[in-house]
Amino acid sequence: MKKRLLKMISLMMASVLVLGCTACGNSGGDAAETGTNETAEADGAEAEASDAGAEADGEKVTITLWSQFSDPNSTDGNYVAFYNALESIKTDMPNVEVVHEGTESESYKVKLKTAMAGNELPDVFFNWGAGTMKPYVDAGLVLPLDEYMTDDVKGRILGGTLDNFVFDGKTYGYPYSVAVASLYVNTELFEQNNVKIPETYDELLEAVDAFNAAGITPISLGEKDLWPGLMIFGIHAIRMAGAEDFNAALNGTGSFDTPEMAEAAKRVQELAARGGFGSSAMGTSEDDAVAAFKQGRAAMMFMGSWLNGDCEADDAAVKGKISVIKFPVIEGGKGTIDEFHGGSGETFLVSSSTEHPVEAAAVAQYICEKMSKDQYLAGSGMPAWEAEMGDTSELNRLSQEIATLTADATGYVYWLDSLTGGSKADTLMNEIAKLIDGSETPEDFCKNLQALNE
Amino acid sequence: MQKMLGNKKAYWVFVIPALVIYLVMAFIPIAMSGYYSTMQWDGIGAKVFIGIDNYLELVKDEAFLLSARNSLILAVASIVGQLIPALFFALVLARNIKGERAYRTIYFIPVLLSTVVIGQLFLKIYNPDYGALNAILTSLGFEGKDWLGDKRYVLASSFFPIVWQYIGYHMLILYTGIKSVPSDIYEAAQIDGANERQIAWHVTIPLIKSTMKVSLTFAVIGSLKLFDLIWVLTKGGPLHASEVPSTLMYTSIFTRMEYGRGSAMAIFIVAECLLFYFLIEKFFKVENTTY
Repeated sequence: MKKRLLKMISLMMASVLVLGCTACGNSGGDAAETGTNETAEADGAEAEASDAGAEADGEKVTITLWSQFSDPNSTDGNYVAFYNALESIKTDMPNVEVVHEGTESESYKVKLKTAMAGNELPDVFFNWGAGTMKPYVDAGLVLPLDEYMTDDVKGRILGGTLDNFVFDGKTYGYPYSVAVASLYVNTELFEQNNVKIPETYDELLEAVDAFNAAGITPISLGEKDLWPGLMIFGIHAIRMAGAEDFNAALNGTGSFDTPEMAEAAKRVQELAARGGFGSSAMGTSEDDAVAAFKQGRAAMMFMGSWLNGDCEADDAAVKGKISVIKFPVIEGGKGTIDEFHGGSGETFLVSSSTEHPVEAAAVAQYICEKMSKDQYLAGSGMPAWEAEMGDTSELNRLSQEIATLTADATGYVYWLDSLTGGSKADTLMNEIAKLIDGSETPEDFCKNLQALNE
Repeated sequence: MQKMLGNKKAYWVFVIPALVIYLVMAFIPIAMSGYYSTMQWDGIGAKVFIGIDNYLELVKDEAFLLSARNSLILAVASIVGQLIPALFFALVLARNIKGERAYRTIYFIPVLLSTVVIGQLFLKIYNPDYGALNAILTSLGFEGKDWLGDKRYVLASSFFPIVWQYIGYHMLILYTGIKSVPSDIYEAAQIDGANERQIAWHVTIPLIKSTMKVSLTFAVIGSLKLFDLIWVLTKGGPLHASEVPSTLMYTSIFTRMEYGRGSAMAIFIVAECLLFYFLIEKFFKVENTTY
């Protein structure tokens, strides 16, 4: 009797444990389930079916792919390009079946970390480069792609676009876009209010005063989401300290505790205090900030080139009225007008535990190269691969303007959050928010940033 | 049946499934968090044992202390802002007034709405540009405010919907408590010449003390571990001004990738909730009333 009871209990415990495990395993996927998931599952089923049938004419390999491109109907240039690539890979790489699962950006980050902790990574997955990628590389979770990167492939990749994917001399990802931030100006509002489009920093401040007097938000900023503030500080630091010194400070070889950095911080704080970002930037989300600019309620916005699509969208009140300019130089700063904020830093990585490294690497390469061209044509960023662009007359007007602006670029500083990653990025964002809010002096700000390097 | 109940081993068969689920779903994760909280770990790479350093750092961390303070403020706000109105409504509703059912349903609606819906609703109300609140204020000649973006107002603005949402919940708990008091007690009080206020104060409230304790416990524990509405409204911002321990824990783990430190916060929340639970048990001793 006792033995049987023990047996029963242990059996029950085992079954509950197993149930518990599968429940946990599922919940990760369930929580992140999206519309595309169903089709992915259907595809998966088909893949299995065709696997059996296709064995005669060469094996068909199933490659799982995760991305933050969750919405197939989005008009965002990167999304359009990604879904184009996903469609064309079916015909261009008939030996693989790509099963895609898209998850919205914020949930995607969480999902990826959970999958990593549980060692359940897909074969290929979207990720950001530099500091964001480093912990994954250090933990040996991603596959170096050097052996698949032939000279022919390397020759097609534009210079400088791989920098954020290289660790200890090994390359872990292919680039697909070069995104650049510039100052978007609403020319109509400038004309209506008789304001000169700023060429110097003083003119920028004059424009801020003029728009504030007219009751228009001068520069639209969604500081509630914290990362937009990074871009404002980023460009000020580039203009004051120069791209080289700023990059050095960010990677720890240089210093934040310099007069130039303090001046950059001071300028940001003064700009905010002057009402440069309107009266409610701290409580405005990025979505609201973009909406305000799109509806013509704000005169300027300093943002990455992904804004092009929004500005030229059919539902935008400002369609055709927006122009992009270089952020003015700050007098006394070391930076020049041809140094830019942005660069190449988004990619698809291959998991080191994939069963089909060759195919997975090929899929990552295919998608990146294909996206490079398509996202450019869709008006998102600059291309990262050499390609015959064909007819570009339909190309987004702002993308062409940015291409002209950046033609003589002498230096780049990549997005500060991706560059630093993890706790460093979070501290940076919060410090900049304090600066904009006026609750920290520029001197303390520089000291606190420098503390991150020590 | 009698035979089976006599067999002590049979108890185990019935208890074990629930016990195992409880262990797997609640106890083991807490124990694991306790283990992780002694590590320096980014959630991916190697763990380094650092003893209680994570906890020592928490005590020195301004943002964390602020978040702990905020959660205590919320607990007090919940007691004052939820339980008192809830008790009032329950006392009024339980008097068989006209439309009792309708009012009960209306007060309970906010509880049924999803937190995210309420969050989005209040995000729109508070919006500095097109929000209803600022529109009303400006039309009355006052100046509009950036309710969720200004450190001075954010705590009040974000706590208001939290407190408001659960008034109906506590009302229902207390209402049920009041309804279970037999009517002959009221009749006796009435015959003795007590008026409505005296009946409420001297008869009803003392008799529903144990129900009130349940409400109090839920209100306090709920405030201490609150996450959802704050996350939807402010994500703890601006500058940690509306941070509560669980939002800070989330950012520590998933944004800052400080898994060990985040786990220490999780353990803190568990310990804090337990502490308050025992405090309430201790200072709110009531004999179970049976009629």
